[in-house]
Amino acid sequence: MRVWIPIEALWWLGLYAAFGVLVPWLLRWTRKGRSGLDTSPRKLYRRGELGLFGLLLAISAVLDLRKSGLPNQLILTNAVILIFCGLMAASAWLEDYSRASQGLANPDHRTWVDSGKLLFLVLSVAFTTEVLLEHTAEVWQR
Amino acid sequence: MNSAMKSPRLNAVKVRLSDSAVLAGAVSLLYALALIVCPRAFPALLERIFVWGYFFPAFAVLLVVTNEILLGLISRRRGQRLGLITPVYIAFLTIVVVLDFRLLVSAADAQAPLSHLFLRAASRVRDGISSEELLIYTHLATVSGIFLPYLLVRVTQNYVSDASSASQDAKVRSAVTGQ
Repeated sequence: MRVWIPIEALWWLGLYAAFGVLVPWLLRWTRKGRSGLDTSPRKLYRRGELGLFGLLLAISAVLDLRKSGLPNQLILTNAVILIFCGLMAASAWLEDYSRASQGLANPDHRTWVDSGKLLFLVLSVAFTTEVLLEHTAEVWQR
Repeated sequence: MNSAMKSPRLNAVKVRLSDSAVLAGAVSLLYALALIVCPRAFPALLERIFVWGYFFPAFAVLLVVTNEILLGLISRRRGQRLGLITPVYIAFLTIVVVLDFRLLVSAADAQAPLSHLFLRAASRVRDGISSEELLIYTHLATVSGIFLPYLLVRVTQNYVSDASSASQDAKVRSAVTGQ
């Protein structure tokens, strides 16, 4: 059995995960000594920022889809589902933001858990889409 | 207290979007893993099942069972009562999603030879839908079949909850003014 390694998809995943989640957390972590901040990711992304990042991921995967050369109907279906997942992820941030702007309390725990789980969905779907695009491109090249 | 104020509120299982998101994400990752580990055998297997004609019935049964198990787990974890309406509604919505994808795949399957015949558009000569397209459609149907029914259930629950709260408030208000 020959295992195939989707290098471009892994590169895409690493780049977005690094710049979207890890770099902001590392920046905060470097300031821990000076200001005594709580540097846990849960504290940093407690307002549902991960959900907003999920929407950005979905948009980037849709842009890659447009360049794929797949049939329009397939691109449209895939794009709609990706954007839908991204919007649902962003709704975790939006809900917290609108409640905060009205002065209503929103449990941090719930926002953090929801945005994290929805980001996982977007990340998985977008990564699998990238793997499928790479696979299709390789098959069509043969 | 008035009888209107004592009327029972709807106590169905409250579904959250994040519940189904984890399952849909995990299944999507497993799908990618299957393609990475078996880059030739996995698409060939899907194509074979599609050609046999059992693809969508088997797919619908699998998704319905998965969604019902997830609903059972959610209700058990939250200690809420699982009535009859929500499981039936989820099964119905899952079947509707699978039927939608069946239509899309059938359209793509019919479109491939037609576009080759009339438009001479296809550089790759095909008799029907390619295994790569089928692979992508199957992935989308899997994710949608798990995530969309729960999303619609959530939307419905919000709507029913708002409507029942409004009618409850109206009853209480009329009872108060009656006194």
